[in-house]
Order: sequence, then C-alpha cells, then structure tokens
Amino acid sequence: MSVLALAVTGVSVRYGAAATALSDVTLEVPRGEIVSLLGPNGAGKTSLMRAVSGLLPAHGGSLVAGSVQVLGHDVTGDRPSARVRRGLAQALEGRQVFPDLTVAENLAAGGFVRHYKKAAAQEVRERVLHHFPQLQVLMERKAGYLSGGEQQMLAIGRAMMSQPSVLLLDEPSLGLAPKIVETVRDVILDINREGTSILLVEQNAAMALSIAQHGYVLEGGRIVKSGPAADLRADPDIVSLYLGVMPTEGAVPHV
Amino acid sequence: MTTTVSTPEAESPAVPPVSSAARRRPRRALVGVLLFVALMAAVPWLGVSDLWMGVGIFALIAAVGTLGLQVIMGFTGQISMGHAAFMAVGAYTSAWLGVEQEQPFWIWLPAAALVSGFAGALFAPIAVRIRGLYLAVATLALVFIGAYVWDTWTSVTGGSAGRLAAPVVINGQDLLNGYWSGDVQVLTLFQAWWYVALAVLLVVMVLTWNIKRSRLGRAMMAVRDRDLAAGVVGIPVTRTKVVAFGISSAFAGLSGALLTAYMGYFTPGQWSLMLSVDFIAMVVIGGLGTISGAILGAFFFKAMPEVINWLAQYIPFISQDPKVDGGVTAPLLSQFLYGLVIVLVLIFEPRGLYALLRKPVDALRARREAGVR
Repeated sequence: MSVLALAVTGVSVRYGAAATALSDVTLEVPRGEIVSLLGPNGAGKTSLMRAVSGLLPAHGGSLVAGSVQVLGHDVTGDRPSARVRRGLAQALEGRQVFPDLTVAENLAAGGFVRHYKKAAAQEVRERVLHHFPQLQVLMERKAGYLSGGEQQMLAIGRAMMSQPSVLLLDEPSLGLAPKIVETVRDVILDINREGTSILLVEQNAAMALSIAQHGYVLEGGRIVKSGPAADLRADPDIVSLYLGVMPTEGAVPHV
Repeated sequence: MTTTVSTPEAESPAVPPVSSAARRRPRRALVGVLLFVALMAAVPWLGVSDLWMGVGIFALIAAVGTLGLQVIMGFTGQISMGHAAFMAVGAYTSAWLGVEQEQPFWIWLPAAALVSGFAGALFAPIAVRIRGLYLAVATLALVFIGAYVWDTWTSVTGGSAGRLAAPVVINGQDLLNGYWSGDVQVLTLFQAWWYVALAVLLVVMVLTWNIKRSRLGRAMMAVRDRDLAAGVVGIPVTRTKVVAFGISSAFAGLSGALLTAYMGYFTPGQWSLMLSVDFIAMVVIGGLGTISGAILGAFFFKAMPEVINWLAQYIPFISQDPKVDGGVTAPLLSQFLYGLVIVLVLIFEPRGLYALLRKPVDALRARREAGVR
C-alpha cells in the first residue's frame, strides 16, 4: 500500500467553547496528485488548512478529534515548524511574504529547516526560481514592494525552498488578474509534475478543478461531496453553485 | 535550462550576472567600517574636552545596550521594557565578581553578559506567549520586581545607599586613575575609558552584524514581519524569540556592567523604568532594525542635552543659574528642546536618524550611477 502524502482523518475543530468549525472531516492527498478543496466562504476551508499546518492554536482554535498525517507520520500535535521538517509546506492565504526582507532573504527563510550549506542553498534556489523567472531580477527588492502576483509567486517559491513533499496552497488566485491566475495555475502544474503533491484550496473552482485529479466540497464544516475532478466538473450542483451561473472572476477555461 | 551546479562558485546561466553596484556594496561597507573605527580610535587625541569625552564614553556604553535592544526590538519585533532590569543584573554580577570575589576585568565582564543573558532566556518562555503591548506590560513588571530585589537584597546591592562597582584594572592600574608608565601618564582616565568602551562596542557590533546576516537573524526578522508565516515556513518562533531575548539581555548586561564600572559607584535607583524608556527612545530615534541606527541613537541621546546646555549660553533669555526661581533655565530648556527634536525626527523620518542621514547619500549615489550609465 502506498503511503498517502497527506491524510486528514476524522478531524473536528472548535474555536472557543461553542463554535464548531469542522466536524469529522476526512481528506486524502495521494502522492503526486493535486487535490482541490472547494467550498463557499465560512465553510471551514481555512480551518482545515490551519489544522493541517498547525496554526489552529495561534488563532484560538483547537483540534478536538482526528489526526493529521504527513507521509505516514502523525503530526497531529506538532508545531508548525516541526511539520515543515516532516515535508509539509504552505503558501498562506493573502501571500504573507516578509515585507521588510528582500526576495532573496524571503527565499532563504523558506529553507530554514533544511540547514542548507551555501552551495546547496544556491542549487535549491535555482531549482525553485526556474518556476518563477520573473523573481530572478527582483532578488534584492524588498518583498513588500512587489506586486500581488509577484508576492504570490514568492510565497509559493518560499514554500518550495524546503523541498516539501506536500504543498498546501490557500487561495493562490485570490485578488490576482486573470492573466496572472493563468501563470499561477501553470506554476502549480509544473511543481506537481516534478513530484510535489498539492492540496489546493480555491474560490476559483473552475481553475482548481481544471488541474486537480480529485476534489472535495466542504460546506458548513462537513465534506458534502468528493470524487474525481472530472466527475465534480460534470456534477449539476457544482456547476450551478461554483462553475455555472456566474463565471468566477479570473476563471480559466476548461481544458 | 538549469544544469546542476558542479562548484558553488560556478554561475549557472539561469542567474543574471551580479550587477557591479551589488558587488561594490560589501567593499563600500568595509571602507565605511574602517573609517568609523579609525575615526573613533583617533577621538581621544583630537583635543576633545573632558566634558565631551565623558559624554562620548557614556554614549559608547549606551550603544552596547541599544544594540541589545535592537536585537529584540529592531530584529525580532518584540517590545521590551525590561532592558533596565537586565542591565542591573549585569551590573550586580560584575560588581560582586569584581569587588567581593576580586576577579579581573576579563572575568567579570563576560560573566555579566552570561548571567544577564541567562536571566533573559529564563524570562523569555513567559514573554514569548504574549505579543505587542501585552509584552510591553509584562516586561514592565520586570523593572518593578527588579527594583524590589535591588532594594532588599542589601548584601549584594548595598540597598538604597548603593555599592562600589567593579574596577577595570589593567597591569595593576585602575583605569579610573588613567594609565601610567612610571611617573608619566600615558592615557588620561577619559582616554583609557574611551578605548575600553570602544573595544567592547566594536566586539558587540561585530556580533550583532553577524547575527543580522545569519540564518538566525533572518529567522528573527521573519518573526518580526509575520510570526504566523514564519512558523509556517518552518522557523521555530518560540525558540527564535527566546534566543533573541537571551542575546538582547546579554548585551544589556555588558552595558550595565561597563556603565557602573565607569561610574565607580551605583545605587538601585538608577535601574528605573526611565532607563528602559531611554533605551527604547534611543533605538527608535536612531532607526529600528539597523546597527548604525542603534549607535547614532545612543550618541544623539547622550549628546543632545549637553549640546543644548552649551547653546543656552548664547540664548539671551535663559538663566544660567538653576537656583533662580521662575524663568527658563538651561536644564529645563534642554528637556523641552530635546522632546521637540524627538517629535520632529519621528514626524519627518519615522525610520529614524539612520534613514535621515542615509537619504542624501543615497540620492548622491543614485545620481552618480545614473550619470555613469
């Protein structure tokens, strides 16, 4: 049996005493695949991401049940930095680059857990940068002065610096122009082709389902649908709720 | 297109050639640092008056402390009001070792750094759980707890009467008497102390510079910029803050030990909240996050009141005699102007004196480089 890149099993999340954000959510990312997580605002997508990356405590939430495994290792109680060491990396929603550090320093920070020697750091950086040629001329620029698209590239590039086996992408197309969304999409495909498994959370369902092999739909804190992306694309509910009626801004035509 | 790099030096075609400006930068920085060291080393021989030498020595000693605060505030983004408490730990450690235990300078000075650094790291696990203003309040408590301890632990601190500080003795000579060769005074008290303080400051500067450029420094600045994102990229946020607290407190301890040794005698009263606030003011005025900013801030803060005192004799409506009732006295005006200058600096250049001085230099450089091309 092949080990899953990421396994979320029976996860329930609560903020404070009352509000339950997720109940009994199970989700799997097989190795080498792109899995996308869809859902309306407030469905719990971000909570699920936090449960995976270990950021729940920082937001006053807690995992009341379930487990998270990265490459078969249980990381449920681990700190965010420990999970990165296990092979998990995340590009947070809203990009969250370090604004006062240069692009080069942001990337270097992304390799923190790997203790790269100078030559290795250079090599990994080049491998990451060939996905983002536009960053190469911006290396000495402060990240805070980059455009939204460039910051998104940097956020993904920074995550890739730890050479993760699983990459979490939280709304990578948010607030970007359609043309840039297309670039981001191509980059995600490229990264996946080189062997990184990806969990993609997206408002832009058309874009997400066009590149994913598998999809989950989260509503009201529960998984209400899951299946191969092709099936979801054809599902009448999904079409009317996420794809059909109003084309999402920056939607990418189906391929 | 990308080939594996065979040697670290080999430049792959994917990397654009480093611009000549970028290559020139380290050399220019080195020239700047050498100039700074040469100038500072020459100061005692430029005929500076004893008054100003004294101000300068206080500034050098304060700069050691501001660099410490720069590590925790400027690099790591944590407001600490507890700097005075850690300076006191360093001061009492050095005094106890230097006087009661009769240990030499080269023992009590590093020990002061170690003990206060340790105290900082001990406090840090509590501090790292809270952020921003809450952290400021929590560190504030340190100053008050400290004040109580210094007042009551009389066997070490001498209580409110104060105590003797550790002497800096080199070749059997206490530097507070200057440095003698036979009957000839080679260095006056001020010249000798200038070099002691300068040497310590240079060591601390090099350390801070290395921290800033290292993996640890990047981690600190990542925590400062966005602590959640820092955790997500794999930086252990808590450990980074603890280390930053430790380093910051160690530098504070060095500064406290030097300060008291230079004064010869000290009382618990000087480790007040105002001292912490002074240090925060120095770092903010100088420029958060930069090494030159921390040093500029210290010199500005220490020199400014004296400058105004000196100016006061040329301003007609000021009474020179502090005992005269009513009217504006020099010390009073000094306080007013001092506050005004702080406000002006913060309004016109929130990034501090460092950025203010940097502006014309950058403008000149930009113009010259534009002309070259």
